[in-house]
Amino acid sequence: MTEPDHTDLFRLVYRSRSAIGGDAEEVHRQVDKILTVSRSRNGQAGVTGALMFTGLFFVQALEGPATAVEAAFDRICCDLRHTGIEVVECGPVLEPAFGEWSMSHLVPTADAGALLNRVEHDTELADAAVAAMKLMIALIRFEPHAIGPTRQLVV
Amino acid sequence: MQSVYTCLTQAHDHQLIVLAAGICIVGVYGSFSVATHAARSEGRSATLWAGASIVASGCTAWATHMIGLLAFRPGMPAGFDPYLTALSLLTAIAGIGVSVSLAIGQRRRTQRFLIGLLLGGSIGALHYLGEASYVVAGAVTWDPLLLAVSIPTSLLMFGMAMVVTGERRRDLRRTGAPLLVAAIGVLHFGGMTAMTLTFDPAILLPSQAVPPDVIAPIVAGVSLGLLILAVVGLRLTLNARAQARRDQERLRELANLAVEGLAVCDGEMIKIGNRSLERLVGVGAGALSGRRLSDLLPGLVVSTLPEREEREADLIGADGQRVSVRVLRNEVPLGSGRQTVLAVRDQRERLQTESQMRTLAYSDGLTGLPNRARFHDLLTRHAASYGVDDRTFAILVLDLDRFKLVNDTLGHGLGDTLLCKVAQRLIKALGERDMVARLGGDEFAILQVDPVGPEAVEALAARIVELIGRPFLIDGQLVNIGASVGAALAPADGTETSALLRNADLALYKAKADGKGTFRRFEPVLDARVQARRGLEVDLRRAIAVQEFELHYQPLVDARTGRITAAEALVRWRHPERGLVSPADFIPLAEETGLIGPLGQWVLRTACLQAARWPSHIRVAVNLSPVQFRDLSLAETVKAALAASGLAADRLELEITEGVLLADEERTMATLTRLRAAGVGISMDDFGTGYSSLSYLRRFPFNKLKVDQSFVRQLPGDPESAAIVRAIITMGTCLGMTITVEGVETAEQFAFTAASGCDQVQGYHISRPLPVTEFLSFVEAREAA
Repeated sequence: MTEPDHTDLFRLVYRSRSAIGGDAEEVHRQVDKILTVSRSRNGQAGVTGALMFTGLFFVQALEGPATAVEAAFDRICCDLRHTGIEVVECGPVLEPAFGEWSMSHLVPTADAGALLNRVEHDTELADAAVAAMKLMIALIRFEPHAIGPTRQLVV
Repeated sequence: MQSVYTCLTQAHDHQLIVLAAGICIVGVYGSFSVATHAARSEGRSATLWAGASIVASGCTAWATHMIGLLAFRPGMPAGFDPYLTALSLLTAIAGIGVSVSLAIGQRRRTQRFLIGLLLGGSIGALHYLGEASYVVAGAVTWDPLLLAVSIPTSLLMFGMAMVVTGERRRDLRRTGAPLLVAAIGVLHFGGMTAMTLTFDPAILLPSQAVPPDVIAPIVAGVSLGLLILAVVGLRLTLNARAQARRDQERLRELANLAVEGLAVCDGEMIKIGNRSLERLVGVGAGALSGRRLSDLLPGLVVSTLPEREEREADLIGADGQRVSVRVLRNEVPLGSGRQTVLAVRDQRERLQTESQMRTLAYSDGLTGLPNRARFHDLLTRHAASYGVDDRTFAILVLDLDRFKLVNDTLGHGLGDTLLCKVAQRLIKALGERDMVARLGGDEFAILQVDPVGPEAVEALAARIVELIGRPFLIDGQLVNIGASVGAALAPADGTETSALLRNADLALYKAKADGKGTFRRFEPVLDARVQARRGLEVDLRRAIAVQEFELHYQPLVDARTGRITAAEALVRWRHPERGLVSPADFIPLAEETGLIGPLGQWVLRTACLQAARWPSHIRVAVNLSPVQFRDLSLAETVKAALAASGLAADRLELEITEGVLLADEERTMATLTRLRAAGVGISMDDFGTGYSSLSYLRRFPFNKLKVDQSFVRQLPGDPESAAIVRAIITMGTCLGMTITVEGVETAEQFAFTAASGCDQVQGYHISRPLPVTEFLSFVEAREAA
């Protein structure tokens, strides 16, 4: 029983639109704050995942025990700093896709190109979601062991 | 004074003096302890012990005196007159007896002093009678000065002794016995010294004089008796003390059993506190004795506390914590006197229970939010204070869209969890001073305090709609609901609680009617609409009672032959003031209020009755509302209408809409099957709009499809509509159903539908709905043609 138990692994991915006001610096500060709180809270509850902020949208993946993910999602849905929450994926999974870190922060650059464009502009949720997931997993896989809790990965 | 000293040192036998003193002390102790026992005893034994005490005191005085005389060494033959000796003893006993019985219960000092003088006098009498009984072979002379000093002095001392023994103060009382002994000493030695004996051989001892050798054993016997009495007294005293100790112990145990804290107080000082009080204060056993009450109960003055009346107070525990208590003062006889007993009752549990009860009464058990009662309470307070400080407030009421569906399909357990999560999100939407309550079911209400204009109310409502509209994740399932919000602002939309709540509710209805997931603020027009509706409802009830309805019939003709094959019965309301009221205006209201039941029955019965008189090839079609389908006895009602009218079952068609099928499918299916079995035809009305699930056609036993008139309106110019109508006709025909096209208004439309293979046509092109007599004329004319 030393192996991590993934029998109760649950994943939820959502997309939402940022409602943070102010200039770029203020937005940056707020996102950092969100990450800090998210890491400390989710870390304690055994929730891992990734948060991607495109400047307009958040895409966040939460992985962990079903009850912990539910609690984390409850908190997220009480937050007024974003709107239009749409769940992209929700259900039990066998393997974690977003690593073992508490909450990776992914900052896509313009080079992410077409995928990023689709995350932001696809009106069809399903399409945008697929794009977001692909982008996130690509970002994670790029250098899977180098992603530290504070390091921002740029592609 | 020199002579007194010589008298003591030379004229007396020292050992006997010591013995006299010892007997005196023993006797006094014995008498006092026996007297104390007499005081403790009751009835006969009290009298006996008191008598023994008095006799003992007399004997003590006498024996002391006699030993003193025996100790006197006059240096010449001496003897005792037996009669006088006996008299002296009797005098002593009588004098002491009288004085003591007078002294009992005597509180006034002067009286006691006088009694003391009496006692002194009787002791004095004993002494001088005794001296008179002491006869020597010589002359007796007296020193008058010494007598004049010693007798009054000793009398004064006796008086003082009696005064102090009756005092309240214990230390003063204790000086009584030594003072008495000293008084006796002064009397005795003063008297002895004042007496000078001169040897005179000429004076012979009287013949009856008894020599000291004979008197001494008698005195010794009395002394022994006193000694025994003293031992008895000691024994009694020890017993009494042990008893007192036992009593006190028992009392303490009893006090420790009490749940209440008890403190026996001496003024401001605690003498004893029981275990409960020690626990309450938080100190060890016995630690309360000697503490000041004001340290424990600051601000409470015990002496001003009315007896037997509970007072609220705060007790300061050893840890400095305040404990709410109630204090009761009681003056009770305890042991020797009345004492102040303070009962201290811990109020924490009661207060906690009360607060719990209050919480239960004013909060919702599921979500923990305030409940309806609490909300109304708060609202009333706000409405009342509005008149004082003119602060605005708003009421927002909301209910959850699709909650019933979630609850019914996913279970009540999940529904309850959902309500808790909704409560959490609502709290997040609120401003700092706003309050949210659960009114019941999926109904919530919010009191918004001091909104800055209607925009602030709208912003709050928008936050609520946003937060509740987000997905909920419960037990791995995503649940989507929404919130409809209605609001009323004080004072613009009313200041009375009831008016505000009603107006907010009206706004909520409007929000729901306008498509849910939205916010509406109250407007006066809503109220007007409600008033109009209420008026209509009253009218409708009356109309059903007095039967202001009539049926009109719209013919359906065979598309190929043009013959009338059926007629659809349509209800009309002939209002005495408004004239004919359209069904669109009253059927929805009748459905909402349940009046559709009696109205529908009337339509069914009337249609059957009238159709029974028509030519037998013309059938009648009656519309049934989804609400009528909720009635389990619908099939029986239809059969009864048929039986009453004599109409053949196959001449009746019942038209239903999709709404009927959406509700309880199984029950609807059973009712439809029963109707079909009875031979009644079933038509699907308005086909092509709504969901129009094709599976309905497979599952339900329809005879006929009626193509919705919205497709016909565009015919034949619109190719899409034409294609749809043609497709429905083909599909229906293939399924073996009769096809009716409704709303045919032009000859072109009629030609198109006929060419497309439709069976029946209905519409203004044929005829508008006609009153029954006109309809019959129309049929006649048509048949004749």
